[in-house]
Amino acid sequence: MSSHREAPEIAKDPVADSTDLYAFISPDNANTVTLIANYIPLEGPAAGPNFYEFGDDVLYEIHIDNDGDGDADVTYQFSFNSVNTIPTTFLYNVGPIESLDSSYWNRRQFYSVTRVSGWDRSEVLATNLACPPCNIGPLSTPNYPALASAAVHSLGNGRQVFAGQRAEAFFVDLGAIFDLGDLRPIANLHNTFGLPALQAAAGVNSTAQVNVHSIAIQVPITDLTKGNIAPKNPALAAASIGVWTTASRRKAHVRGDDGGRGFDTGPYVQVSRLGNPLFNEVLVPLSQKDGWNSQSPSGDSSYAQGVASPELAGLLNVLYPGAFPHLAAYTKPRADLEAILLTGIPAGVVSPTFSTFTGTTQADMLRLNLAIPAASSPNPFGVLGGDVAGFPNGRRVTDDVVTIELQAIAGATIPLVDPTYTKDGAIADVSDGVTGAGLSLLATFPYLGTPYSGYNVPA
Amino acid sequence: MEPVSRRTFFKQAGVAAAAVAVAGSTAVAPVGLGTAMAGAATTKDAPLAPEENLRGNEELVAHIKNAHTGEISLFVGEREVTIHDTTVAARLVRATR
Repeated sequence: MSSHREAPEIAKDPVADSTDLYAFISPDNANTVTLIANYIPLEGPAAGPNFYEFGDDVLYEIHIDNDGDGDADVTYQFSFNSVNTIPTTFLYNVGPIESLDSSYWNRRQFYSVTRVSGWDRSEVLATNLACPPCNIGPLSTPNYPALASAAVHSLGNGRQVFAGQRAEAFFVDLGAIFDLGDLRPIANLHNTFGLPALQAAAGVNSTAQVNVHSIAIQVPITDLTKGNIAPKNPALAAASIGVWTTASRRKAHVRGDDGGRGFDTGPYVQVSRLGNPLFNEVLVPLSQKDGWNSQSPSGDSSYAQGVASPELAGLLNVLYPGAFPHLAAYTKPRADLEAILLTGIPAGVVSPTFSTFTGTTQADMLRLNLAIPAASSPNPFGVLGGDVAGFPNGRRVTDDVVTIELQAIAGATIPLVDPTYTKDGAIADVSDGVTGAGLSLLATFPYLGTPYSGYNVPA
Repeated sequence: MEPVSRRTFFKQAGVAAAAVAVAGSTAVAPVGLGTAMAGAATTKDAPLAPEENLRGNEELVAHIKNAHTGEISLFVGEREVTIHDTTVAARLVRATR
């Protein structure tokens, strides 16, 4: 998956496990950037009696690097606090929840937002903001869109924020990919290890009809840039920022003797990180994934070998013998992937003015060029599809990052940096065969769709 | 003594070893703190003065990383303070016997 359960230790800690990160110029508010960090993978909608919530003991952060060094220059912090308003009931709610202050709603969650800039300059933007409830069903949450809408809070100065449950927008055929890479659309080409041949088939979305918990914040472009400028020239490095999200826990936790939570103390320790989708999942060895999660992007040169020589590219040649002869013969370091994922793409590679380049520091960050406006007709294949407002220029909720990255690893982007390379014919069919068609999204902030209700899913 | 801020801890290696939790103002931890605090006027066995006590509901956890070198990490508030005190380490280890 994008980053769901991508490392052994964080897979056991869902509330701190980042799943997806999005960063894009707001399509309906051109002077702002929307940043969305999703947590808690694969929430089954029917989750009673204890529905999902953020971790009160987790510090969630969205970081922005605006000078290319892979360290945060602006950070938005989110801290949560849960309360039980009806101590005597075993229920999440004892009647229909029709407003965020409903007296029927027992288990509620609130949060604060803090902006940190420079080196430890903190500004509390808001406290005690209400999260919406989870989507339970027609009796408990009869008008869920209204509850979610009420949970979009203005922070002033052109900023707004939302934190709560949303429908999963990421799509992937997880079952096929991790069954030894038998991508269903080209399964007939798989070597199958001598087992009976597979037939080509359409993909199956493994993340259909599940929910996540989203932290979404929309801020003016000038909130994020060095010198608070609004970049106009996309070819300049100053036009691009790097974005990543982290979750951190206190270093020491002592369990309570009475079955209660006990206490946490000491500094926060980073336990989850996400910049580009699939980076930790696909390019970092299993034994190093949790270590990667604890690091800052500025130290990612130590993981660059996995980008320059990705294991998956070699596996494609083994799993699909004869399908990728040009990729098999290509022995140079993958400068295309290093640019896309670690430094940004310099101007002149895709076009004279397109760039996501932030500098020579190798750092896994989701890079967004703030001088490139949102596309009026987004192409889910982003830059590969000729839409320079899409991934890997930021990431929109509709971008098909799995297919984009599979094709890139299979060699689709090598010609950008090495014109002597000819793409293999099979490239066009490299996909997990799943699309975002049918996803229910919003046209306005926070863009992700209404979460599935436990009454309706599973049907 | 090595204070660690929120923004520098990311680059520090994690720790994994036996930890000794000292909640509140038990007899052991304050002795260690009193010993290690640079410039502290108290001797290592002196009782804490009122102003030296833990703040409010603050909890303190001491993690002996290496009993022989006396390397102890103290977790308090949002800080980690590392001290090197073989005497305190030895007392804590013996207290568990």
